[in-house]
This record gives sequence, C-alpha cells and structure tokens, in this order.
Amino acid sequence: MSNEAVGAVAPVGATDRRAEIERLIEVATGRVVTVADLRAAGGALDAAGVNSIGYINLLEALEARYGVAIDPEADPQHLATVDSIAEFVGGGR
Amino acid sequence: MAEVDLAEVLAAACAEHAGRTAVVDGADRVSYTELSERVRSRAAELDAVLGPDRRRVGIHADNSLEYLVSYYALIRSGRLPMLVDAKFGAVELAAIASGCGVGDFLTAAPAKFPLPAEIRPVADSALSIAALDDPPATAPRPRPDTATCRFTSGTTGEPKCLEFSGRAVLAAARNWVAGTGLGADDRVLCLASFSNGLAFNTSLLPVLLVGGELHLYRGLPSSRGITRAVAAARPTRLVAFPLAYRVLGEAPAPDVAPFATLSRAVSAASVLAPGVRADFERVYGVPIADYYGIAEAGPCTYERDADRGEGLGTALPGVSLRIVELPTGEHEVRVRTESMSSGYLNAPDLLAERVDADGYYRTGDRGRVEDGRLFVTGRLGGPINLAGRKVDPVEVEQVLRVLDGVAEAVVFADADANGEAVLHAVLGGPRPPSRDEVIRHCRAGLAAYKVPGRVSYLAAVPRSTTGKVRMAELRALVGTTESDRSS
Repeated sequence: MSNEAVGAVAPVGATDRRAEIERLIEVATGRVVTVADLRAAGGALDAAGVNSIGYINLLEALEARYGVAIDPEADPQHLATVDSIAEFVGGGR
Repeated sequence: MAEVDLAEVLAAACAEHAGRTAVVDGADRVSYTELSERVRSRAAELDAVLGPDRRRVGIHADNSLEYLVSYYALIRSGRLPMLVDAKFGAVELAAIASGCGVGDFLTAAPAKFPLPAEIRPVADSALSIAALDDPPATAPRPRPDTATCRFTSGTTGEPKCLEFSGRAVLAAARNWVAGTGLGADDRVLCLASFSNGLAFNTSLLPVLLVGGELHLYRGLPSSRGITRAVAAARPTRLVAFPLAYRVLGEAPAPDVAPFATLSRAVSAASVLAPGVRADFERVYGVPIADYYGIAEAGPCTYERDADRGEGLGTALPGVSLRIVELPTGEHEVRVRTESMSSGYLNAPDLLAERVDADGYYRTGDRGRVEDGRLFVTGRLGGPINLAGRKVDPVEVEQVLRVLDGVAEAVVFADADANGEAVLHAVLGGPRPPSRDEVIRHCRAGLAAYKVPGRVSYLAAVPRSTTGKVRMAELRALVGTTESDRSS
C-alpha cells in the first residue's frame, strides 16, 4: 500500500474522527471494504470483511496518521470496530 | 535410501548441539538439551491422552514453542502430525476430518475450536487435544513411510492433504542448508506459519539440524511488531512474506538500528514487487533473497548472489528445473526435487497426474530460466495466490453455492486499489444475498483469507455453449482489473 492513507485524510477535529477512521479502513483494504460496507456491518471490521492484509495496512496507517500503535496480540478489542479504534485514538494511547 | 525417522534426526541434532540455544518464543528460551527433554516428555503425555490407536493428529494452532515440541513429540510417539492452517474454519476442518480420517486436533484455543469436540488437556502443555464428537468412520491409509502431512487448497472443494516421507522432509532441510549456507551461528526469525511451506522448509527442521537459533514471531506482521521482534532476536536471517517487507519498507519512521545483525532476508510464497525490494533494501541495507517453493515439491530455488535484484535464483541442491512449452504457446515451470510429496492422502491419484513422464511436477506457473536463474511470470490457472496463501476458487464457490438465492457462483482473482490480489465472487440467482450475508456465511466456515472481498451480482453468469464461464465477458460485466500480484 502507498501512503495514500496518510495523504488522503485532512486534519479534522475529534468529532470527525470516526468518519476519518472509516476512510482509513477503506483505503487500507484497497477500497474493497467501503464506508458503506462498514456501516452495513455496524462498524465491525471482521463482519465487513477486513482481512489480515487490511488489518496490517490499517495498523500502519493509524501509526502514521495518529502516532499510535495498537498491539493486536495484547489488545485485539481495540481493533474490533470503528468506535473502538476511534476511542483508542482519541485516548491518545 | 532407507526410511528416515525425523524424531531420531532431531534427537541427534539436540545431542550434537546440546548446550546451544535452540528455540526462542517470547520469554521462553530452550536449549537443545531442553528441547530434547521436552519432546520426550511431551510424547509420553500425548500417549497418555491419545492412547495407542489414535495416530493421526491435526495441529491447528499458531506458531509457538509448544507447537514445535508437540510436532516432534507426535513423530516420536509414532503418530502422524498433520499441520493445519490455524486460520482454517469449520468447513475446512470437517473436510480434513472426514477426508483424511483425523479425529483429534491439537489446539491452543479450545474454547474457539470450530468443531464440536471434547477437550482433553495435555499435561504441562498450553495445547489441548480436541477429540471430535463425531470422529470419522473411515480413514484412507497413508503410505507406510509418511512422516508428516500438510495441506493445500483443493480443486475438489476441500483441502488436499500432502503426504511427506521423513526422507523427503530431511532432503528439503539438508538441501536448504547446503544451498543457502545456513549454519550454527545463524539466528533465524521466522514470520511464517509452520503449516506453510515457507516456514516448514526453511525453519522447522533446517535451523535445528545445524544447531542454529529459531526465533518465533507471534501476531500480525506490522512494521512495529517486526522491528520489536528483530530487536529482541538480533537475527542473521529473516524469513517472511513480501507483505512484511512492504510494510517495513513503507514504515513512516523506520527504526533501522535493530536490523544491523541481519545479513539476509528470505522472501517467498508470492511475487516480490521490485519496488518493495528496492524500498526495503534502501531503508535497511539488507539484501532480500527471493526463493521459489512449491507445496508439493518443497524448496526449489534460492538467490545466493546478494547483488542480484531480480529473479528467484538458481536451483537448490537436489532440484532440477525445466521449462516446457505448452500447446498454447505458454511456458510452464516444472520441477523435480528430492523433497517431493509422495501423494495426496485424500486424492490418491491426483499428484501422479500432475507429474510428467520424467518425474517433473507441473507447477502451473508460467516462467523462464535465464543463465540458470528462474523467473516466474504468472499463473496458467488454478489456485490463486493471496499474499502467499493458495486458494482454489472451486473451494470457495462450493461454499457460496449453498447460500439461499445463489444459483451460480464464480470466484476469481481481482485486484484491489493497492494492486493486491483479492477474491471476487460473482453470484447469479433469483434472490442473491447481500454482501453482509455472503461474508458472514463464508466466515462461519472458511479461513478468513478465503472470504471474498468483492461481491458482484449478475442475473446470469455468461457461459459458452459448452457451459464454460466466459471469464473475459464476466470480468467486463462486473468491472475488474486482473491482479498483477496474483501469482
């Protein structure tokens, strides 16, 4: 994946973070999982069809965009949904 | 050559390298002496749980020291370990159980084991035996010298079970050692699963054979995770898929210092894009050696020349390559190796049909050989390569066809916006299910990487008068781009 994920999102406030993360996921999956797919799945990444490559791309994008690292081994729940990611990112961890 | 007992091979290596470190798994570090003792005691513990008659045991777990110890312990206790992809779900496991006569699986996550089973703890082990509630009534007979089995995606709609003799496994390891210069001073960090040929052929036995250190990796291969593991292991070799090299090369703030000990990065299982190689080598200063291996044949080539930036290297010892022009004008790579599988347990004649009159395996890969170096240029058809994992579309199509409202299902390799291969399912029928339903249905039974990312719908799949799917027309109808990374 290119660094499209980083460049594709403009700086936004906390209220827009959820939408921004949806877009990051869309880019991380090579646009195979769209924002509409995510919403149809209630924001759950597994249910929307995010695969392991998508997760890896997303981890890289989250670190590049927010400077945060989710450890999927220790804290898999943080990667489960758009909301859990937004909460993790918003917490500044 | 006489039959080879892999347990004796390991025991001899452990005796020879007794005081050295053998395996490191996070905080767990065992010497060759300790490894030998653990294998011996684990064999006794497995005997106690399984008794004398339950000889086939699937290992359905991620890499760990426990996995490695249990694998060799099963061999030591005269059983047949079957290395199952930890991502396999209920459909694949049920097919393995019934098609290969496997009634017992070692699992690290008994609560999540996909089939109904009685969980029997193994003393002093993080793995448990999942004894199926509905064990197979019949079991195909493996060849007398079969020492271990692995799986590959099957055109019959279920994973094909590859049988390997101890002789073939040892030949793969020895030829890898000789062809790549692996030695006792090497510390190998392996990111691939033991059930995959990349790890099986480069790490599970070869590192132990020479007295090296095998370092295991857990979790998704993010750039941060890999860097942390490299810092801990100080490896001389990294064994990984192209995906891992891509994320490392693209890391926004790479920490290159831990990579100073690394002299070679080994890549295999899918195409290493030139840009990925260039980025990784520029950032970390470590050459990537691309290697070509086939599930049915073992490791085939390796690039020994660190200055070579393209191709898959030259034939390993014990390997013969040939390029055969087909009636279509395409050129197929064929290989003959000392590490060939002896057959598919659940499809007895299929492998023989894939071997030509001179004993060369028809790989299904298009390619050429220049100055002894192999170049693979694509696939002739058959299984799709998804970041190193082979998926036969037929297997996924069969699962899709049982969905309500689906009359036809065609699965093929598409490309996502990043150029990565992705499975695209085209469904035909009167009331096709939503994408959500398709994904939920597939995830319930198949490994996650076999779940189609793209789902399209057509009133009817375009077919020729003989009933064959017109792929070009179908692709045009649903708007796809053929992946350039699909092989």
